[in-house]
Order: sequence, then C-alpha cells, then structure tokens
Amino acid sequence: MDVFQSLMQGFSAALTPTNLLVAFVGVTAGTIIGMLPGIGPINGIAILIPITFALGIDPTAMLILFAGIYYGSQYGNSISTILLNVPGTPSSVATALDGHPMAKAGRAGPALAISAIASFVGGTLSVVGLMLLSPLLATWAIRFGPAEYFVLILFTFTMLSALSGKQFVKGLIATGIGLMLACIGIDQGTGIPRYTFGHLAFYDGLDFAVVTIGLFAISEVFLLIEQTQTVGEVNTKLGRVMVNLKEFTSCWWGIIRSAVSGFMIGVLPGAGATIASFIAYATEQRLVDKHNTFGTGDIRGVAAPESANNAAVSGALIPMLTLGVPGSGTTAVILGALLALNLNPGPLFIQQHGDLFWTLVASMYIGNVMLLILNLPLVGLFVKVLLVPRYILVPMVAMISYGAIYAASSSVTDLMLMSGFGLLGYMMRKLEFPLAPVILAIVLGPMMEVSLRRALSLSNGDWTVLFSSPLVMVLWGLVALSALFPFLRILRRAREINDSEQH
Amino acid sequence: MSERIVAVFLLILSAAFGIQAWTYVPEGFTDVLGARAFPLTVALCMVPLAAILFFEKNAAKAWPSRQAWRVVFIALAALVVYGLVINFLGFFVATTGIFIVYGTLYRARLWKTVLVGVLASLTLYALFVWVLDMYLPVGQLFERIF
Repeated sequence: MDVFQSLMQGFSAALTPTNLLVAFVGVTAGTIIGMLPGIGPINGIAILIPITFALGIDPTAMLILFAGIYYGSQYGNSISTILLNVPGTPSSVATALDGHPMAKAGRAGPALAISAIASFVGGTLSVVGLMLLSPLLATWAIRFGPAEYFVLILFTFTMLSALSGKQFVKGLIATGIGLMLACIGIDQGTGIPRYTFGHLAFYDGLDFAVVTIGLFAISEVFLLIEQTQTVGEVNTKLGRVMVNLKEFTSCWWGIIRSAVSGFMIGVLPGAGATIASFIAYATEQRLVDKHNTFGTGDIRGVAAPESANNAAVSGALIPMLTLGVPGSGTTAVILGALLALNLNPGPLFIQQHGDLFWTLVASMYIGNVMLLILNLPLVGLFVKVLLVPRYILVPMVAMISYGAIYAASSSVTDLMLMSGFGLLGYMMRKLEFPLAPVILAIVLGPMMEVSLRRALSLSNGDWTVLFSSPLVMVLWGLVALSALFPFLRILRRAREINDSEQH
Repeated sequence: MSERIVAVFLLILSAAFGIQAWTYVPEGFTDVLGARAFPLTVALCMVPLAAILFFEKNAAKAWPSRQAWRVVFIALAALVVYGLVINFLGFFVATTGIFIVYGTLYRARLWKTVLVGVLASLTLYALFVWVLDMYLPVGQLFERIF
C-alpha cells in the first residue's frame, strides 16, 4: 500500500466526528496549556493519562489527543511569550527575543499572526517529514537486535544529558535516579521483588502517572506558589492579528529553512524544540540580519523559532514511534501511556498498527489547520486565560492532578507518593537538575534491562555481544561522542575566553 | 544548599541501593543476568557521578529563601493532609479547603477563596463524577446525608 492510499485511509478515520472532536479538544487544551507559564505539555498529558485510562478511551483517540496537546502547546506558548515576555515552555524563549519587543512597540498583532503562520507551516511540513521518514526508518530499524537497543537507549540517555545545558553530570545523575525508580517492583526476569520492602503497592512498580504528575505538575505548583505575586498587567488589546505582504515575504524562506532544520533536530534524541528554536534563530540572524535588527523587534526573529519548534515536535515523534525510544520528556510520557495500553512502539509499530499511525498523521494535518484558525481570529479569546489569577490557577492545577489520580486508583498511597515526588521535583529544579531524564529513564529503564537480558541470553552470557555488530559499534561511537560533547564545549568556551583576553 | 550535601546524600543513596541490590539472589533457576546486576550497575555508575558533583565548583543559584520554604512547606503539608482526610471529609470539602489554604498563601481575600473553592470543587466533582463517570469520595461524614 502506498503512502497516498494509507494517508487517505488515515483521513477517513481522522475525519470521524469522535476523532475530530478529540483533535479539537487536544489542540485547544494544548494551546491553553502552552500559554500558561510553567504548565507545559508534559503536565497536561500526564494529568490526562489516568483520566483517559479510566474512561477506556480508544488508543487512536488517545494518541490524537496527546499529540494535539503536544503540538498545540507549541502554538500556545508564543502567546504568553510575546505578550508577557514569560515563555510558557523553554522552546519559546527564542521567540521572546523579538516577539516581546514587537508587542512593546504596539505590534503584538503581527507578532502573534506570524507566529501562528510560521507554526502552521513548520507543523505541516514536519508532518510530511513524519509521514515519509517514519516508514523508512521503521524498515531500517528492524535490523536492531537487543544489543543495539541496549546501546541506543544508552545513547538516548547520554545525548539528553549532554544537551541539557551546562549540567551534563546533573543530567546523568537525574537519569540514574530515574533508573533507580525504574528498578522498583518485581524483576521481570527472575520474579524477585526489588526495593518493595514488603509493600504490595510497589510490586507492580511505581505508577508512571503518579511519578510524572508529581515530578512535573506538583513541583510546578510549588514553584508557582513560591512566587506569591499575581500575574502582571496583560495588554489584551491586540489590534489586527495579521501580517502584510511585505512582512510575510520577508519571513517566508526563513520559515521554510527553520521548518527543515527544526524537523531534523527534533528527530535527534534529546535535542527537541528548545534547541531547534535557538538554532533556527541563530541561523536566521547570521543569514538575513544585515542591519542588526534581530533582538529589537524583527518579525523574522519571531517566525524562525516558531517554525522550528513546531517542526521539532513531529520530528520527536519519529524515534518514539519507529524505534520505541523517545527523545524528549513529552514523548517519554506519551510512550509510557502507549506501553500501558500494551501498544509497543517500535520497528513493527507502523506495520502492525498502520491504521493508528496514519490516522495520527492525518489528524496532525487537520490539527494544524484547526490551530491556525484558532490562533488567528480567536487569539483574543485565549489571551483572556492569562488574566486568571494565580490563586485560582495554582490550586486548580493541583486539584485536577490529585482528583485525576484518586479517581483512577482510589489510593491514598498514590496521593502521598505524588506529594513526595512533587517535593523531589521541586528540589531537583532548585538544584538545577533536569527532570526530563528522570522520566525518560523510568520509561526506558525496564526496556534497557530487558534488552541486556535478551542480548546475554542469546549469546549464552557472552558480554562481547554488546560489541559484536557494526551497527552496535556505530552506536557506541555516538555514545562516546555525546559523552564527550560537553567537555568539547567547555574546551571551546575556555579557548574563546582565552582569545578575548588576549585581544 | 551546597551541592556537596546533595553529593553526599547521593553517595549514601547509591551505596544503600547497591547493598540492597546485592541481596537479590534468586533461588533455583535464573537467567544469565539475574536480578541484581542491573540495579548494581546503576548504583556503581552513580558513585563517580556523585563524586564529580562533590568536587564541582558550580553551586545552584536559586536555592529558596526561608520564606519561600515556609510557603512551599505549607503547600506540601496541605496536600499531605488532603490525602489523609479525603475519604473522611470527601472530595468537595477537602478540595475547598485546599483552595482556601492556597488562596491565603496568595493573600487573596477570604470570601473570594471560599467562593472560588466551592465553585471549583463543584465543577471538578461534576467533571470527574458526572461527565467522566469516575469515582470520587463523598466523605464518610456526608454519606448518611447524601
């Protein structure tokens, strides 16, 4: 079956009233979640996991919903970034550099319009990439044996840590904490309960939703409540939310370039939307900023990062769907939900669940159109959400989280654990430990152990199996490169400082 | 807080984790890896990382002030109490209580926090129980009434 035929079948499924409604709910919720500073797609999806499980929602609809929240949040986060200079998620920090100066200069409308248009183009082009590249990568990924998977997961960990800013060691420690948490429960190979200390509640391991909501949503509640001031003045008068032809043509090639680079960066494990947006911004600045207007309210500085961060979302879905290895915190949460439904993303996923994959692709095309419509004429309505006082918003986030977990499990232990993980997440953030590696390790930890176990079983306990194929050696090379990357960066910075001191 | 304290804590945690892993010896048939190899490896990897953290010079910049800790502690305590009393008081009363506590932390007026708490609790109860058909406790106190 060719791509076009599969896509048409996907559209016929995505255009059913239920899936259309789910896509609409997903992108709308995503826009609002992305817009609210600190909430973010991980929290939104994590809170919805227990609800969707309890309701027995069809896996296709669930994936459409979660993907809608993920890419919808990339649209939404530009709104608070441009109007308040408070990025909803780190991926829109680059947008703030020119978006907020535009708003301050009374050009909030064109800034929001180009952000929506760039997001639409970036999002749509990257879905084309997802559609064409995923089946190819899946065909290639069939060559992956357990040893390759083990090293690939290791590569994902080192890459995510290497790209989590200056704190490479902290990223690895966060991964270690996640792996420790992943060890709790009955060992799949031997049936021995590990780290349960006799408590039956821990025999099945820690509830993924409890850990994720605790680490992300509840810690966010603590961070927000720590700053007990309310939201500042928000100018809800946007004027005409549209760009003129001159503005549009000045951005066009930048949008296309950033979509391509954003998509490619999104595919890399650990890279994600934040790095994609900064690289796109820096590239455009180097290519087109002849009069040093970037950073002072240049519309091209808004278009490029917005196109890139939306494109990165579809890119990030590729390794998750075709290899079963997520490259970011949000895709790790989505993978966790899929695994809980006994859907195992991997090389055979598109072959075995082609209907689900193509419906998702079609729904993403539709979702991007919905978002363009929502974000151009209706942006004024969304802006009103920014006016909700913190004393309503913060306890609301906490109570939706607690209500969702309790309604799904009726377990007070889960509520206590969630509070504990909230405190852990808060302390980790304060100590500048990244949280995404913890979630990634919780999801991939059991998979890593199973892969190692299978590899060793197939080789009768011979550990050299981990170095036996060319593919696995390439992956070890990537592990070494990603582990060396932070040190190379330190060396480069030291050389730059040295050079500047000499001049 | 000094990161050295965190490093020491991580060292102790890794040691305890590794020692506990060592005790997982399967009886009878087992596979090639066993139950302890993976957690033991994780513990062993954590030790040098904690040591690097101990000797690193970068200190976390934004460790909360005593006032911030007080607010966070109250917010956390309220959530713990919420978990303990939800079955007895029920979702509606316990949730309203959280809104009042958090509203007070934000220095909102009491009548506003009570009003918002009641409305939000009702909305969430309606959403979870009536719309989504999930279970939330009415509370042992009110079971006889409702």
